[in-house]
Amino acid sequence: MQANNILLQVKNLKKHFPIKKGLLRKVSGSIRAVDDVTFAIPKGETLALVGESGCGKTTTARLILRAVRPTAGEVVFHLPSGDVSIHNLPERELRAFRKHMQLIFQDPFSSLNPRMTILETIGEPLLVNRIASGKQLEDRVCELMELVNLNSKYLRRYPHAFSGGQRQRIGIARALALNPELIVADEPVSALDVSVQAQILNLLKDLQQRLNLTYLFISHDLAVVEFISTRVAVMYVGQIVELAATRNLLERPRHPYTEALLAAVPRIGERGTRKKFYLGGEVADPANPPAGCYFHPRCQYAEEVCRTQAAPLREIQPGHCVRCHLAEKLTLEGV
Amino acid sequence: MRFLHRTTSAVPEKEKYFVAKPHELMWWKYKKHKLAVVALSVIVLMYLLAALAEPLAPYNPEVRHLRHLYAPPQGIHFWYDGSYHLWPAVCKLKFQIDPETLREIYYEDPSEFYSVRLFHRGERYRMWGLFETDIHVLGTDSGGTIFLFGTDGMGRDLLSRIIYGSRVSLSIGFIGVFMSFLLGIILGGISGYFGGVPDLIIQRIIEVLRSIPSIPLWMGLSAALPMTWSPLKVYFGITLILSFLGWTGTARAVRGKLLALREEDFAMAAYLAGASNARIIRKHLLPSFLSHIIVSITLHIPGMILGETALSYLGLGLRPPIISWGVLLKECQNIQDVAFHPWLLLPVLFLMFIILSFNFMGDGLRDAADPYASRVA
Amino acid sequence: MISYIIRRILYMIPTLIIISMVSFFIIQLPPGDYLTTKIAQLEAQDELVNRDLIDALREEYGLDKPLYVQYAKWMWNVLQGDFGYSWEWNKPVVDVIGEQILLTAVVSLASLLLVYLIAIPIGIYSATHQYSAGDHALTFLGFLGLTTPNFLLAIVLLYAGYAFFDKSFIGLFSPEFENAPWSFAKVLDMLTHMWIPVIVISVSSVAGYIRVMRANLLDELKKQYVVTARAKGLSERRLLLKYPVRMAINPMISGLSVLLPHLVSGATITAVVLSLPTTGPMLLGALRSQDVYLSGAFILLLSTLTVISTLLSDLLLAWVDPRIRFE
Repeated sequence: MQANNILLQVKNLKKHFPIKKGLLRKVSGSIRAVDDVTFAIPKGETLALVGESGCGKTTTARLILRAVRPTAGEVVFHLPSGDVSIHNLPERELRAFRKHMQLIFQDPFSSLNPRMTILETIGEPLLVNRIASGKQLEDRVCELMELVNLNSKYLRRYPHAFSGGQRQRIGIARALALNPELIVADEPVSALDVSVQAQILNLLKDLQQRLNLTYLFISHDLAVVEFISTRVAVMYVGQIVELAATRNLLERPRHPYTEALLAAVPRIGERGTRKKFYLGGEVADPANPPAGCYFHPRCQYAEEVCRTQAAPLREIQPGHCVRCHLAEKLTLEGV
Repeated sequence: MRFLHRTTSAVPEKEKYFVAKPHELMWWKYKKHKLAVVALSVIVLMYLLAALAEPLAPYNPEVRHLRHLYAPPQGIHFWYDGSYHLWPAVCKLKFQIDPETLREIYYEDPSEFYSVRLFHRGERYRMWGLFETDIHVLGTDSGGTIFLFGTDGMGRDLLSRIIYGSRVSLSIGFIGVFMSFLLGIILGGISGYFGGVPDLIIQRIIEVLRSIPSIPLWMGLSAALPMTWSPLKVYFGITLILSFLGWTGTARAVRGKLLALREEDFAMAAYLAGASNARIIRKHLLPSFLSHIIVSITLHIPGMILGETALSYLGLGLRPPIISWGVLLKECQNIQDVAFHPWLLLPVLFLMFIILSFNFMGDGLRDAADPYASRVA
Repeated sequence: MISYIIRRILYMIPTLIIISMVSFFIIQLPPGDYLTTKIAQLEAQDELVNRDLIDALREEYGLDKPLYVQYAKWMWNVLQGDFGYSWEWNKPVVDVIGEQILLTAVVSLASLLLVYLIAIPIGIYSATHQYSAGDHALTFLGFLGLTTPNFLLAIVLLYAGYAFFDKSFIGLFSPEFENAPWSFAKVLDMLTHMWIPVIVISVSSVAGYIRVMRANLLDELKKQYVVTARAKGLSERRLLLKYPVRMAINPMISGLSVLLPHLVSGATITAVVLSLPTTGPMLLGALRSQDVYLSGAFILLLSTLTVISTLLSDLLLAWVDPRIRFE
């Protein structure tokens, strides 16, 4: 990791939701949605956040965007104008800061207001931040539409005129309106047909090169991740269990959970040469995680130390971090 | 790269659909409901009737025709003077005393007839309290009577009284609902948008109010209206009372919708772009649930109209000299009177018509309210 | 489940307290009190009024004390079963309204049962035979019923009875049973008379519920579990009753909390029209003469009736729909 080029730094981020039970709604415990997450994204690169449903990916994204307040931890932006620690910002400054980070939503059908034209939707960020209005606004919106390969004469149409893929493009155009440095993409292609997925992913990659964008890409699809990301972070029950460059992670994973995820991906043309196994048990309950390493009840390599001691996230090779006691000992199979 | 995606513009009809504003989509969907469209026309007509009561009523509602007490409805005849005529006429109303019951029996004397007149100069009145005139749309020559719905115990033309009564009955529904709407939106909005403690308190209040049976509550509140109040004050008092309970439905609808809408992605997108709370509410949330509110309002109006009718019938609501359908029905309390003079029940027909129409219109609106509902993949 | 029941009962208590306050507030609204009304009446009849007697009476009934004291006294008595004294009738309130409230409850509950008994089967029929002649006919009848609110229907019915059948539908009992003590024969007599008011009260609600049931069932029938059950070979009738009907009934049961106040309210005004010995006419009189204890008791008891039934409906719903228990 080049330390001098980091755009976003997340340190020890935690988000716990209290559980209220009983007649008097007493707090009986908490759901550890995000539990001590740390990573950094260099400018112009893509970090993928991977994991099963409920592992905390979306909550992490919302914490970074400060749509939710963290229970603990820091989120720091390194901008040319200075470092900004987001969670400390008062409301007004936060509103002004928002133009540095934007979100692309998962569901193209609910992310656009059906009662607003494309012009209004894409133009809203510009209008709200008083950057442009009137003819200027229209011109800028046309520019944005062309950037995402949408014909600019569709300005006055409403969302119901467009297909899923097109709507996603509109969402991307809206996210680009404020020239953000960071774009968080929350499973942007999961709701699309496979052929359309390819188009959108290509577009995203293209835009990243042209505009020097930094992506935090959330996905549960490893094929997508392989295509678009430079580095990958695997999450399990609110924790990062492995963090590495994409190629390294896929070819030689160091965490048993990563290995299991990779093994579950069907590959065409292979004939039983791979180690086949299926991950038993259920995903751990974030309200009541197991003692020691969260993953140990399902891990086929688990040893005594795993049952008793929590595993810290350690850098076992330059640029490759793992949360496993046995990382050095194990030889795991990738794809 | 510019024309990579689409090369042709859509066919004109499709293009119209693509750029259709939300209210246009709603209207098209509403039109599909034939019954609802008919209902809408009926309602518009009825309100026009109420607005133009003065010229449309054949007689002024307070005029007593002392020689025609409890006169039965007169027919319009095209056969008179021995043959068919193109122009309708009414026959002279005469009566005899029935020797057994000592009551007046009315009958029409076909030998004396009077032409029906249109835009006839009849009794003087003030149009909307502004200017005096005496033009009535329907009338007949002096000496003749055109009691199409008969008269009541004081000789007043029932049709005219029904028309004037529609003014009060229909407007009370509207105004009462408007007040409920305001209260409901404010309280429901607070409840839904802010949640937490205000939500809990408001929810409790709503639950309590909904458990109290409406008529006893209205009776109790109306009994509190002092006898000395002017009719206008009583009118507003009754409207207030009716909306006292009515806002709960709207508030619940608003709250439910807001809770759902708060989580909508596009509202979040606006928030992340830096939009203020006010803008999010105004541009993103409000338009979505406004249509639902309108539906719930439309379905509430019949309840209000009936409420006023019930209260006036019981003698607790509006009182003469105000005329409303409820006040007219009060004269039907004595069932013997009604048995002899069944036309006194005619306001019931009008009530049924209006309620039916509002129900159909509400149905149509409900379907049309969310034209985007089927869009969700 | 038990904790759910306890929680619901606990919730009911503040509701009842607020209702009692509202009832008290309502009856205190008109300016003056019973005694001022009485004085006005007497003076209108040119009778001499003994001021000292009036003042003594006022003190005895606590009418000169501040409102919250009156309220506290009233509630304290109510909780002990003493609903106060009716000045108009010169008897304890309980004697006056006891029978009336009971009859109101009976009539309202009968209407409730009727609504469900009629609406559910007809709704099911309508939904399963969608667009058939029967469906259209029933829908039309439904609309007709919807537009004829109870007291209007009562008026029309009364008139029809008078004019065409020479029968009077007034009252709940035949003349000979009117003031007789309760007996089996009296109950039978009541039942034969009761069906008219009950039908009148429930008609508009029946119509509404038929439509609701029909719409809900149609929605359920489109769902995939129905297709699955059919594919598994379940007979149409068993299938219908076992799955979609159970789901479609849900909103109907939760609607009970709105239905019952509506029925009680309808019962009140229908009672005035048909001169039933239930709540309506007497409440009217009590309100007019400011017989506070009487009218207060009426409103309080009616509201309590509906609150308790709401509780019962919630419990019923929790029993029928397991999802509710875990909320």
